[in-house]
Amino acid sequence: MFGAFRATIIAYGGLLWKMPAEMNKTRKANVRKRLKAVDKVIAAVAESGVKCKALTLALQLPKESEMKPRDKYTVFSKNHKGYRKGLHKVPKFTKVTMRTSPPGFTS
Amino acid sequence: FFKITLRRSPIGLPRKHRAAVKALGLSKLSQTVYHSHTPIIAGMILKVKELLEVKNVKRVPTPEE
Repeated sequence: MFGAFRATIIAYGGLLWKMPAEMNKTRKANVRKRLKAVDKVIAAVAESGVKCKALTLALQLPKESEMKPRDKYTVFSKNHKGYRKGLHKVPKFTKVTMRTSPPGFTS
Repeated sequence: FFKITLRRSPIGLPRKHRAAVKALGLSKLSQTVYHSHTPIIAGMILKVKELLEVKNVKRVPTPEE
């Protein structure tokens, strides 16, 4: 672009923040722990016998035991190669439910 | 009754999630609150299900520690 200028992140800003592509074992274990905790909350609400739309939608979500590792630790991303990116790259991923992918990208 | 405990903070979450936590009567972490089984409360719980711990109890305990 500008002659000998290499458009690296460092050249632009000066500081580089790196993030690994995959989560390590501890992070994945914590993801599983959080998924199980959310499953418990949904089960408790279902057990109470209350009926509401949010509950019907929540019961359609796969449980942690039914999810493939690919669904547990990665999410759909239209801009990445393979259309998948690590779950840890989603903002607030520890407090957001992202269990399913769009239809056609589930395998 | 639902026995609801706030385990994770709503800081950084959308306004509606924070409103749900406030509407449940939770102002601090690890605070426990009791609500009857209604669809309104159930909807609030499910909105912020990632932050809470929920149990079903038969009766609400009086302030006996």
